[in-house]
Amino acid sequence: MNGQTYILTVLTPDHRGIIAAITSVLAAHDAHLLELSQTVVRDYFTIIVVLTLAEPNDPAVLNPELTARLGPNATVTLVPYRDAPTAPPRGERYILTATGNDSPGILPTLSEMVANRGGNFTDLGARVVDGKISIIAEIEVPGDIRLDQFQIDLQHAGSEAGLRVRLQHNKLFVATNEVAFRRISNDS
Amino acid sequence: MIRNDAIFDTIRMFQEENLDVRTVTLGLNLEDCSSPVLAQLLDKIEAKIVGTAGNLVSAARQVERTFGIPITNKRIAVSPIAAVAAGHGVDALVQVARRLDRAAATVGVDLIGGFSATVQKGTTPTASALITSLPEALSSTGRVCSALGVASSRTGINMDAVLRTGHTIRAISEADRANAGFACAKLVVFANMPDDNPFMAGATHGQGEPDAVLNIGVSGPGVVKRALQRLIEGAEALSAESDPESQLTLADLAEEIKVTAFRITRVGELIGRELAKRLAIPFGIVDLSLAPTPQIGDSIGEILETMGISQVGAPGSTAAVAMLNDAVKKGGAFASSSVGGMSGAFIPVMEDASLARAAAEGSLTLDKLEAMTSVCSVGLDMVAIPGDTPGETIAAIMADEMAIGVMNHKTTATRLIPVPGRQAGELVSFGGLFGESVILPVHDVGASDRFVRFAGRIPAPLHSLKN
Repeated sequence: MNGQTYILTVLTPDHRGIIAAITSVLAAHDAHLLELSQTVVRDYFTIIVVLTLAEPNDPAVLNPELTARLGPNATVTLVPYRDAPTAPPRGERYILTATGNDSPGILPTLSEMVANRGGNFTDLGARVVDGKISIIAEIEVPGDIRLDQFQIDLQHAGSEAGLRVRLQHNKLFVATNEVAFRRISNDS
Repeated sequence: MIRNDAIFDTIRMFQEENLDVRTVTLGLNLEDCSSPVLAQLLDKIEAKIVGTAGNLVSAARQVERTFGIPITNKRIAVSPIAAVAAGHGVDALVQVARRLDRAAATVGVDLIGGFSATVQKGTTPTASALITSLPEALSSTGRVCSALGVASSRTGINMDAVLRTGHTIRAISEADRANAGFACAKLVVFANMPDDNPFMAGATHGQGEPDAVLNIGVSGPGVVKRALQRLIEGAEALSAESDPESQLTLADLAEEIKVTAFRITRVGELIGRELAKRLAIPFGIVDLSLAPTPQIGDSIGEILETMGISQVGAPGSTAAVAMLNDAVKKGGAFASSSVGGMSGAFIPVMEDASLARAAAEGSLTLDKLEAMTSVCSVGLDMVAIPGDTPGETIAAIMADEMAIGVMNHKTTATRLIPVPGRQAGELVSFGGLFGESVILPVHDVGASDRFVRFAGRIPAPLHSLKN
């Protein structure tokens, strides 16, 4: 489909009918969805949508129409999509986990260690319950790093903050949890 | 991404429950090394082992680093030497054992299997020489392991070989008196000997296998035990809240074992395929045997205790191990289409601290062990017996175990260790993975001498006639 590609984000207190409201507005303007991801964090609904709008649809109308449908507490942004200036580093996919006492500064510490080794976060979630934090991140790490040393460094950084930090290859989690292991393992 | 709870379940298996890959075993065909000239035979054997397995250990370490999972043992299994060294005599076979030992040391593996012969129906001159060479071959080398196939469901039991092996085991023990007969721990006597078993001491690269192949043996008793403990504790907590749905049955325990075995097997296959790819050889099988170690928390006996057998060997032990063994197979068979080897729950007394304790306390006897091996893998394994047990009685113990395998179409085996100069109830310790235990009493010694001295062959069972 020809047209301009945009990134739409919506942040709003969660309630019934949000997806229906967003998609009906987009459909009314012939928006073509390319990819979206949605989650709810502590009762806040968030969504990021990559879409294409064909001429003569006017992107300027989307933002006010969505705000009108979702209410004044919704934050809606629409920006043109641009290719990333540099492709993110690729590599082997790993799962990083950290559990223990909630510790200010642990995420910057861990993420800086990942970045210093050329790694890239591709998925990240964290939750604090009763003062205990659990972090699960999917990262891509260059294949030529000394993984055992990286694991030791992460564990050391975690233990200083009272956290158990682990790094294991994503294939292990696929193998132990997915039924169709061999068919999907090449993509893991 | 995988669900959060599944991620933490997987992490727990590696970090807290001792899940490792117990062994990666390179199976290697040596039949192309045959030569009537001993020097050539020895050089060809060494060259092939070093040439093919030279980077086994380093590649395994790379895989360990990539996946963060320990591979406890890296080993080699070669073609039965009785076939490779056909035509050679006793002294030459001892030299072959020493050359295997040297080649294993060169490539950095701790054990090399295949100083073996299959004699289930009859004994060739070279197989006979190999059996004669065992006392010196096993006591003068540190890494060489041997397996003898003396029975099968298709042929019956070669009682000539069984009787002779009984005496040979005594001779091996005496030859290694300085080490309390430890060399006997490197000899496994089989019924229905597998061609692709990765576990030592019985690993041999059998007929019909590729030139080189990578087989893998997983571990995981600790993972199974903890999974059962969590299930039971969770049900008890719910029961305290009077939840009628929380009542566990043995079917629930079997289901938990099955799911856990699935996950363990998958780890094994993943690591095996990755290592085989790096070595550029075919991946063979994953043997999903639960293999214990003397380490606390890594024990088949502790699994049985968790299942409610407070003293291993008590009535119910055979039923419990049968259920465990079956559930492990069901989970593993669904996890992988490449399951092979022995694939059951091992009960090696010396290598399992809980079993060794039960033996010391008198609840686990030789007879109860034999009963348990009729429903699990693999046999009377790492059992220390009095050093003065006659060869005929050792042969009779083996004959009983072979009969269980032959009649039930399953692999059974013995790894019996007569400890020179020691009696029942005394402790013997080999250290490391080989562990320790008291010496088990053998009752009615000599009472079956007449039977085993008939020798000849116990014919194949009726149900061997399947064609």
